[in-house]
Amino acid sequence: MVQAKDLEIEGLVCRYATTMALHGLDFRVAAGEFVSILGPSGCGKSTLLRAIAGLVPTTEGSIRVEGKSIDGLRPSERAVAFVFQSYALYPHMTCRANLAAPLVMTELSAFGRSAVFGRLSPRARRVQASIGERVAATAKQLEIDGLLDRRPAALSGGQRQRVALGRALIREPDLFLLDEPLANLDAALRNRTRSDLRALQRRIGATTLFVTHDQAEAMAISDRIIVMFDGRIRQIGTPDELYRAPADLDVARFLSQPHLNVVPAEIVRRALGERTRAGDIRIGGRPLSAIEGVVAFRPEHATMARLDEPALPGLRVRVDHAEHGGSEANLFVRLVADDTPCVVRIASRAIADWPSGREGVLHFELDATHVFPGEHADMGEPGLSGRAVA
Amino acid sequence: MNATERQRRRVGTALALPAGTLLAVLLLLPSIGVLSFSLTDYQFGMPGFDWVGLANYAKLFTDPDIRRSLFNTLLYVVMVAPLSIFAALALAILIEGEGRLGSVFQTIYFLPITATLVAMATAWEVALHPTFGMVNAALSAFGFAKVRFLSDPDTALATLAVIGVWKILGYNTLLFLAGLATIDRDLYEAAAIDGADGGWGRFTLVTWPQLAPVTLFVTVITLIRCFSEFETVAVLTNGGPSGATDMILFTLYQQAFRYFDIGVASALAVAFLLFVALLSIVQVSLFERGGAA
Amino acid sequence: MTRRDLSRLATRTVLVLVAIITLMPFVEMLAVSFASKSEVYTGAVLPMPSLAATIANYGYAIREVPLLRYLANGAFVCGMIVLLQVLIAAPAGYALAKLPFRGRPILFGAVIVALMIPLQVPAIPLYLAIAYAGLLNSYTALILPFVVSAFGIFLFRQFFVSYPDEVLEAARLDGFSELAIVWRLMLPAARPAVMAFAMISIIVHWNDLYWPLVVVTKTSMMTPPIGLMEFRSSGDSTGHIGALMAGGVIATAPLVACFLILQRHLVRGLSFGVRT
Repeated sequence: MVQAKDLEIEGLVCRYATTMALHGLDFRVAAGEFVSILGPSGCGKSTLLRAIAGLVPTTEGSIRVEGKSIDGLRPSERAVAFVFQSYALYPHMTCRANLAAPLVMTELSAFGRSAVFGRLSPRARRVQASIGERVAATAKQLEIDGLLDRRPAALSGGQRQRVALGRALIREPDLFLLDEPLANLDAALRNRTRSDLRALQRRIGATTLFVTHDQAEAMAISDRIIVMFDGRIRQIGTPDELYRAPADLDVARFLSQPHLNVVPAEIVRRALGERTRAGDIRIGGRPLSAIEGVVAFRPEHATMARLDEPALPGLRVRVDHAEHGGSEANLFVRLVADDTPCVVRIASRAIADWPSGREGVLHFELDATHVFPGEHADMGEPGLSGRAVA
Repeated sequence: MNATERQRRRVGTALALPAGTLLAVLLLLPSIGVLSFSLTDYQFGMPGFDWVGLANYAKLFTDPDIRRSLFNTLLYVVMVAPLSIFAALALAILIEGEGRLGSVFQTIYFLPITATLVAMATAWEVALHPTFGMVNAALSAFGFAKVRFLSDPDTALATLAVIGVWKILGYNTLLFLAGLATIDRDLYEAAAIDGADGGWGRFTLVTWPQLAPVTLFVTVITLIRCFSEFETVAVLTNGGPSGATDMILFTLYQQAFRYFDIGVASALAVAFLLFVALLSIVQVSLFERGGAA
Repeated sequence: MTRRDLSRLATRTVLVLVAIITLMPFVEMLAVSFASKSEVYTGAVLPMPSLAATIANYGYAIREVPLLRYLANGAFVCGMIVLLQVLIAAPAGYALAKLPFRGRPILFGAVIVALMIPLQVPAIPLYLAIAYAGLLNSYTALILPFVVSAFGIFLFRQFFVSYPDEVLEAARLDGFSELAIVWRLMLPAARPAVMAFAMISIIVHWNDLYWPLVVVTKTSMMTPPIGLMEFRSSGDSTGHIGALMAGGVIATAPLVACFLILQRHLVRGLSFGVRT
């Protein structure tokens, strides 16, 4: 168990000719917290991680660990551990040497590292012995003790990933930085590894930043998630906050992959009317009559009704096709009014009821529906539902 | 810029400095020197020189010996380049179809690449010798008249061209084989489904278009090597008989290091550089398009 | 016989014919080096080998023509050239590929320009400088113009460009200094590129005739190609054609043997630029 430390980023700006830039980021990560940085590729999330590690220079702003700035330090002095997407193991070294590398390079002098002097100096021998013990302990913890004498090329993807994890852990870092460490694993292994990873993090208690582009992965293992687009933070929150109250349409879309239904408010108004006997129809806390822009809801919050069944008013749609997904299915439909495509989650045994071309009525849960300014509005503005943190 | 960045720059400069300095001193500055020499009448050993403008370049077109040398070079290129390129392509395709046996032929064809050309040229000379050479012995065994390959002005350049093809064929075959190995097998299956399952159909639909970049690369390399032919002339004919095999590099060598006429030699060197640089520009742009970052 | 068999037969015939032509000068060289002069002059396609003649021919090449001296010169000159080329080009290639130093675009431009300049162009001023410095007929003269290889720098740059950046970042995090990265990571990684480059360079410089011909006139400084050429053009060779061919065999054999052993490395190096 390490002494967990908190991380504070203030006004962080990175400007480059080539890499993705960062435009003023502010956030805090509490000691021992597991925070994901989620965003599409090219949004700057990897750059952020590298800036914290000191691998890329920052232009403005500060990075503080336990209140102490680490801006001027070399990467190796920052007490951060980094796991790379490609694992970045040293190809010509055995796993043992890979695990030992951070300790050898920081704790032994150039003399102590050399084969001859390293054996002569008693101090170097002591350090080497302690390095050997720590390598063995780390390997045991990650169950790679049987692989120590192999080279990376002789390992499977999952084994390499664990060696990379071990090389990061062995330094007993203040901060644990993971750059898509699961992206190169196959689907089955990825799910198992991600729970192993979270369990490991809980056990050692290190403050962790985890970069990913997979929203399901981020939702599954994070205490909190930072959503980034184009070098800016769009929203910070717990998985539940993000799911229930996305800050803007981009965030909503990104978290609702693969499908989010986005319908112009005007069409919803025409289909539903503005009020029922019980009072005004409200979406996202606002009366439908006052809403401009678009209304967004997820496939799982929509249902289909037949035209001949008596039901509440809804959106009139025509069925395009269905995709079987096991117990449930996605029904692809288009609004009769303006051809907007929508997706409805139905029970897979109901597919037969909805052949291509059939018309029906689409209902959606008003409570789980979000309202955003129109598609082309400035997305930097706060959305109407939820809160934006930028 | 942080400390790491500064250290990276320092180390980068330190690692690149020796190479940069030596490139400038040994290659770039002397080449600029040649440009200036070509505008003078400097002769090695003479105390001074005069600027003569483009007179040395005019000499390349007027001096009958130099003109013949340039003409011979072109003739040599025309004889060697097309044959060694297309024959190599054909051989590469044949070898590829042979599987295990192909690698035996491959090894045999590659042998001239490593062989010392001076030794091999001498061996060719012996093989072509009118009285005891293997080739003439074979010719007379089949009832043909003996040929004085290297001492007859009508056959000397063609004979050097044959040796030139012999020398370069294996290397070109190697390049084509490397190119063939990069062709995606799926393309052949797709071509077969599209109806091109015969040899010629496969070649025109898949092999030839896929090899186009390699072919260009091979062509450039071959042209440069043909323009630069020197050893066979220097060892076997000395430009003779009566100038029939004089070629640009041999003339350059003689002007510079036998007659010490630095002005004319420099003009020839600049002309030679222009040939090679033009071809190299094509080559480098291919390199950059295909291989670099 | 099916059409398939026929085409296979035709293919093999062509391949065998080309192989015969390719091997012909090698066979002639070996055959004559094993034969006595009288055998050679009978005009048979292949002269009969004889042990006595073989000993006489090779003995003459080694004793009378100072062929061992040539071989030693060639080995020393080649070795120094390759060593210096790798020591100078590999770090520069790494810097060009991975380190952001001032002047990097200029150096890369210079390398590209240098790639296009054949040796014969700077040869004239280099010769004049070497002559004025009194260094003709010296190892320095034979080695100096080749110590920096633009091709080598380019090849190593291409090699290092494809080395993953993440491994370098990992190394910086693990506390490697920039020099430790070069020494402990890049050097071991560059082994295949060094092998491929060294083989090409050895072939080029072992067999080079032009430059030795320019700067060497003394027998004691000659490399195998110029030595052989000297022996061939001296009146001595007409009487000792077997010895001349023996000399050819001795000069050629080391590289051909090397090639047969290391064929794969060599092929990889030579086809650099095609496999993209």
